Order: sequence, then C-alpha cells, then structure tokens
Amino acid sequence: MFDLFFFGVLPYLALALCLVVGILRFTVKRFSYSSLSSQFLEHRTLFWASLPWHLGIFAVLLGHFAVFLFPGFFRALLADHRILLAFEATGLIAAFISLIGLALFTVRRVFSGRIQSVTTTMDLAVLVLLLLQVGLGILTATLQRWGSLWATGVLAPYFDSLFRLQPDLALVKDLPFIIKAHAVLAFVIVGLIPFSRLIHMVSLPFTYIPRRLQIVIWNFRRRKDLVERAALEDESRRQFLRGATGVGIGAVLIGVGTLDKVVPFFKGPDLTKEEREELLSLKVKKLKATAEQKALELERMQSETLFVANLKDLKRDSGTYFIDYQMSPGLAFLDAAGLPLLYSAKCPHLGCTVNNKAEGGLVVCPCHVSHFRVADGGRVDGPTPTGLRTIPHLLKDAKGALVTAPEAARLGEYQVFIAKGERS
Amino acid sequence: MRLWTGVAAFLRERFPLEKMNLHDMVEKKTVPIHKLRWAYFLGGLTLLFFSILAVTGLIMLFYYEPTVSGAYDSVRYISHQVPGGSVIRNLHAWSSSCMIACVFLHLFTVFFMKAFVKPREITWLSGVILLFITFGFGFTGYLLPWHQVAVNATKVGLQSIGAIQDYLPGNFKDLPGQLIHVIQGGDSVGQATLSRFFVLHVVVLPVSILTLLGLHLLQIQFHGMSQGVDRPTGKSEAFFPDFIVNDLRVWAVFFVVMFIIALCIPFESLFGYPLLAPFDALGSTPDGIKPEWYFFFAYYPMELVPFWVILVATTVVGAVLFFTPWIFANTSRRTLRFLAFFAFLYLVVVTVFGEPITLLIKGH
Ligand code: HEM
Ligand code: HEM
Ligand code: FES
Repeated sequence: MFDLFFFGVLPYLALALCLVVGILRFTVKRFSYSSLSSQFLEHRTLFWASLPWHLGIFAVLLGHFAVFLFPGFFRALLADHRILLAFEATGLIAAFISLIGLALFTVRRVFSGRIQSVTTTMDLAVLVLLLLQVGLGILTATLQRWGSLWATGVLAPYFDSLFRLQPDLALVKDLPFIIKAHAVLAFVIVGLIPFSRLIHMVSLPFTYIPRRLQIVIWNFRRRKDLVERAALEDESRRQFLRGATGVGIGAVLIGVGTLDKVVPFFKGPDLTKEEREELLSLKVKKLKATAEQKALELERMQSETLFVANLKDLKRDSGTYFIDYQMSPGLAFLDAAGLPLLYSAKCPHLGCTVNNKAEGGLVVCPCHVSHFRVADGGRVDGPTPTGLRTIPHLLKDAKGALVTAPEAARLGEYQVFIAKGERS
Repeated sequence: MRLWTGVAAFLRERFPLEKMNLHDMVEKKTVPIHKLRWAYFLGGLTLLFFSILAVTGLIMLFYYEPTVSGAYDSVRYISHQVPGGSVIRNLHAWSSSCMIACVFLHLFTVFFMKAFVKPREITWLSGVILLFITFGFGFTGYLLPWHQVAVNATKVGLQSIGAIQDYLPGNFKDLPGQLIHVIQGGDSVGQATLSRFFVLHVVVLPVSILTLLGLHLLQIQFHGMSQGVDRPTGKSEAFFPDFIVNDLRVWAVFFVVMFIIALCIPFESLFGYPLLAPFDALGSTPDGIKPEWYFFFAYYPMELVPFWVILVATTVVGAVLFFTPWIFANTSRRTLRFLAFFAFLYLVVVTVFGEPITLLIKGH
C-alpha cells in the first residue's frame, strides 16, 4: 500500500508538479528563475558554503545519473574492485564535501541576522530536506555498500519501468528502509523544485563550475576598484581550485591504489592447501636441519673422537665434506697409498669453503681463486697466504679398536675419525 | 682553560641558538641559483630514499624472521606469496643502492662546492658519520636474506678485518680475531651473527641515523645554503615554499621511476641462481661471491695490492674525510673540483671495471 503510493504514484506526481509549475513559472514570472542572491548581505561564508556544496553535489548527481543511465556499462566497469573502490570513494568524498557546504549554508541562514530577513520558510525547508537527503545518501553508501554496483541491477530497472509507465514495485519492495527513504525524499525534492530557489538549477549552464563567479556589488562609483580586485582574487582562486581538484582526484586514485596493495599485504596471502603443506614441510625440513646442526655441535663438545667417513667411501679426485671440532668444514681425500688425507676446507685467505672437486691434483677456493695441492694441501697460487691446514686422522677397525698399523688388505673395513684438540 | 673557552666559542658559532626560530631558519632562508644548483637536491634525494627504505623495511618486518632456519623462507614468502610483497622488497633493495649512490654524489658535490668550510664543519662531520652509518645499513642488510651470497660475502667481509693482524705488534695480534668474534658472536657466521646484524639493521642504525640526520639538518637550517660557486649570480629562490616545491617535484619523479623499476625488475635478477640458494653450511662456496657493488672500491684493490697498502690508504682517506673542513679550508674550488674528479673517476672505474681489471692483472 505504502509502496504503491511512494513508488508508484509519488514519482509521477513529483515529475508532473516539477514540469507543470516550472513551465508556468517560466512563462509567467520569468525573472524569478534564480536563487535570489544574498551575496551583498554577506559573502565570505557564502563563498565557502556555495563552492563545496555545488562541486560536491554536482559530482554526486553526475554519478547517480551516469549509473542509472548506463547500468550495463557500469556493471562491467565496476566489476573490477579497484575501479569500484575508486568510484565509491570519490562519491563518498564528494558527498561529504557537499555536506560541509550545506552545513555552512544552514549556519549562515540561521545565525546571520541580515540573511534572516531575506530567508523564506521555503528556503529553510529546502535546506533541511537537502541535509536529510545528503545524510541518507551517506548512510546508504556506508551501510549498504557498493551502491553503484547493486543499483545497476535494482534501481536502474525500476527507473526504466517508471519511464515505460509500468512501475515495477517488486524491484523496490525489499529494499532496506534507508534506501527507500533516500528515494522518496528525492521525489519530494524534485516536486519542490519549482516552488523554491532550487529552480535556478535549470538555468545552470554546464560551464558553471569553471565559470567566473558572478559578483554582486552595490552600484557605486567608488566601488569600481573593488570590482577589479574581486575579479583578480576570483581568478587566482579559480586557478587554485582547478589545481586542487586535479590533486584531489589524483590523491583518491593513489590512495585507492596504495590501499589496494597495502591491505592485502597485511592480510597475507590466500594459500591453497597444497601451498600451505609445501610451506610447512619446508619449514619442518629446515628446523630438522637446524636441530641436526645443533646436535653436531653438542657431539663435538662431548665426544673425544668424531666419525668422518668410511675409508672405502673416500675418493682421490673428489673430497668428502665433514664438520670439524670448530664447526668449520673439512675435506677428506684419499692418498696414493689408499690412506685418508684430511684438510680444513676453510680457505686461509678470507675463509670461504674450498671446492671439493680436484682437477689435475688441485682444488680451488672460488672466492678469489686460490689453488691448493691435494697431495699436501700446499698453496699453488692466488691471494691465500698459506696452504690448507692438514688435520691428523685416526683409523678404527670394524670393532671400534684403534688401528696403529693399517694393513693394506683390510683398508676397506676401516673407519676414519678425527680426535678432539685437532684444531683447524 | 684557554682550550675550553675555545671549544665553547667554537660551539657558540656552530649553534647560533638565537637563530632558533621560524623566521631565521625557514622564512629567511634562500637557496642560491647557479649552474650547479642541481647539487642542492642530492641531500634531499638521499633523504627520500632513506624514507622509502624505512617505510618498506618496517613493512617487511611484519613477515621477516631473523632466524637461520626461517630467514630465507620468510624472505621467499614475502617476495613470492604475500600480495604486493615483491614490490615492497624490490623497493627496499633498489632504494638501498640508490641511497648509497646519492650519498656518494652528495659528498662529492658538497666537497667541490666547498660547502664544508666554517661555519659548516659540523654539517660535514655529521655527514661523514652518516656515510658510515649508511654503509653499515648496506652491510648488515645484505646478510638478512640468508642466501649463499649473503652469508659468504659477509664472511669474506668480516675475515678481511683479520688480515690486519700481520701488521700489529705481538701483544695485539689477537685483537682483530677477537673483534671478528665479537661481531659474529661465535666462531663463524651463524645465528648469533644474524641476530646481531638484524638488531643493528632495524634498531641501532635507524636510531643513530635519525639522530645524526637531526644534527645534520639542524646545522643546515642554522647556517643556510652555502654559495657553492666562486662568482655567485646573486640570484636565489626562497627556501620555503619555492625550493621545497622544487624538491618535492624531484622527489615525485624519482619515486615514480623507483616504483616502476621495483615493479618490473626484481633486484635478484642481477644474480645467478646458485648464489641465491639458501645458505648451506656444509657445501662448497659457489663461484662469484662478491660484496654489494658499493664495496667494490675497497674489495678489488684488496685482491690486487699488498694489504699494507690498503691499510695505509684507508687510514689516509678516513683521516682526510674527517679533517676535510680544516685540510682544505684554503683550497680553491678549482683545485677541489680537480681532486673530486679524480676520486670520482677512481670510484667509477673500480666499481664498473674492477672485475675485468683484476682478472687482467692476475692473468686468469
Ligand atoms: C644519509 C646521508 C645524508 C643525508 C640524508 C643528507 C642530507 C642533506 C640535506 C637534505 C642537505 C641540504 C640540501 C643539499 O645540499 O642537498 C645536506 C647538506 C649538506 N650535506 Fe648532507 N646528507 C647526507 C650525507 C652527507 C655526507 C656523507 C656529507 C659529507 C661528508 C654531507 C655533507 C653535507 C654538507 C657539507 C651540506 C651543506 C651543503 C650546503 O650548505 O651547501 N652530507 N645534506
Ligand atoms: C628503518 C630502516 C630499515 C628497516 C626496518 C629495514 C629492514 C630490513 C629487513 C627486514 C630486511 C630483510 C628483507 C630482505 O632481505 O629483503 C632488509 C634487507 C635489506 N636492507 Fe634494510 N631496513 C632499513 C633500512 C635500510 C637502509 C637505510 C639500507 C641501505 C642503505 C638498507 C639496506 C638493506 C639491504 C641491502 C637489504 C638486503 C636486501 C635483499 O637483498 O633482499 N636497509 N632490511
Ligand atoms: S677466501 Fe679463498 S681465495 Fe679468498
């Protein structure tokens, strides 16, 4: 019942009033087509109220009309969440700017004595309605978010049905209360246009924004210089405004872009189950390796001898890495007689780890290319001051007994150890 | 007694507290306009890069994990999984190089513009310390990703301190070794080193640099911009707002360029993969371990000339840097330009061609 009146009858009523009375007024009392200027009564607040209000509401209305007129285009455009964010943010900022202007208008109308005398009841009513409307708009934008997107699917078809003279109330039936109130108030305001100063908007040319402000001044001769100065001031103000608008738009874009990156950064990635498993298993592996490292360290503190390798696993041209008592890397080779050759793999130059591949009986430190002989660890060339330090070894047999005189036939069963106190 | 009144007089002149107000320090200040005026932007540019570093570094701290088992993976996580993480990390890595480059240029320009003479000695001295802090940032930051180059380059860097011991008399022979031990916090580069470098990089150095930067900038506002050329044009622009606006314009351009670079070119693309593999304590050091490019000027000579030459040269250069305001107090700008040119030439040649020159001389 209410829906039928507010959304089926009121829109037509408002439009009819607006058109009929508007046209009447245009033909009968032509010069009343303006918002009666109160500038010469008070102009400072007027400027700071008028400017934000008109800029803000112009942007907001433009956004509304654009979405209602081209719903398909905007649905596609706003599907990208960054564009949606930028669009909504711009709209919201514009709404707040217009709200500031309105608030100043209200203050001026209510508290300035001179203005009071030219203020009609209708002026006040319009102000209150507009305040309400902008407030409802801001509430809609914040409580029922992404209006520019859902409006393409709900409100745009409704307006379409209005213009086809078959209002489809089903579309608006379930809308939340604030949105309904916002729409109804819009119809009311449209209906009031011809009865109030709002009528001046139809005389508004589109160059209104960058146009020079109309300056109303008492018509005295001595005020002439004042006109010129005001014109100049106005000029620089308009330059500043244009710059500020550009900077503002840029700031919104940069702000949205940055937030678009920064917020997800702190939210962290959305990982699939596999990715999370992979990360966790990697972590476990690393922790195990670290634990092993610590165990080695502990072992080196506690035991008197350290296992290096089985003798049969050592080679002549490729060294086996091991960790000595200083937790530094060592290299184990085999000599011509089949006995172990142990060196510290820490390069005496600046401490890089020497490569374990022997070529032509030489190993190389890759950092600054020093060569060492495998046979005795001696320096061949490069910046290293000395050769590799040899580390004495111990041999134990399969039963763990120390071997003092190795037998050539049993070499395969020996194990190589180093003893504590053999620093590298 | 005379000494102390002298010190007091010196300080009174360098810290004219009566000028400590908005009018003298901001409103009255002007920046000269002449053909070297671009040099006045270099200090500010360094500041821009430092700000980028501080912000991106702070952001990375939300994920970075300063442990031997976790550092590498957390850095990988930042650059491959966290949304936007790669941009942040690239910004940090690229900006660190840019900051160092800017400090170098800034140092050279203020040197040959003779901006260090009385009463700007403290500006210069705080600058020199800022230079060392900046190098400290580079050195400690380099270890944090804990990959092969990171750890091995740090090892090499630290070990080179040890080479000093051959030139020390008997009782002091242990000193370099002990120093390395203290820095490393252990026998070799390990968890203790990582913790120390981490704290240095994200707490100690930032606090120090902010403090000194405060002193540096305070001095600059006290004394105004130096003339910079022998024959001033007499033209100048107001520091506020004209110079500041120009400064911001320069910043905007460099920030955009920096951002695009960080977006498109991963810093890591400059290394081969084996160098970026996680550090492996047991394996051989991979080929091609090098410090960051900004240490080349000391690194390549170290491979070529006897260590005592390096030692003498470092001492001389260090002393000259610290005492520049007094050593060159009466030198003409022409001579300064000449000196700066050769020093700069040396830096560029060694940094860019250090490797081929080294190979050529060593005959490999
Ligand atoms: C983190 C490093 C540094 C930052 C952020 C920094 C910042 C600045 C800034 C913003 C200025 C004023 C504008 C300009 O001339 O560019 C300046 C001036 C100056 N800086 Fe630095 N600076 C740094 C390092 C250095 C170094 C390494 C030196 C020299 C050893 C130095 C010596 C000076 C001098 C002498 C001036 C005065 C220039 C004049 O009055 O014309 N600064 N610095
Ligand atoms: C408040 C300031 C800073 C904070 C909190 C900070 C923090 C960090 C962190 C958490 C990392 C590890 C992540 C990674 O390796 O990518 C890092 C790396 C690094 N930082 Fe900083 N940093 C700061 C300032 C600086 C400055 C001023 C410099 C250089 C002049 C610098 C140079 C580096 C370098 C070279 C790396 C290694 C980058 C890489 O290879 O990935 N940082 N920093
Ligand atoms: S560290 Fe081995 S040659 Fe320099």
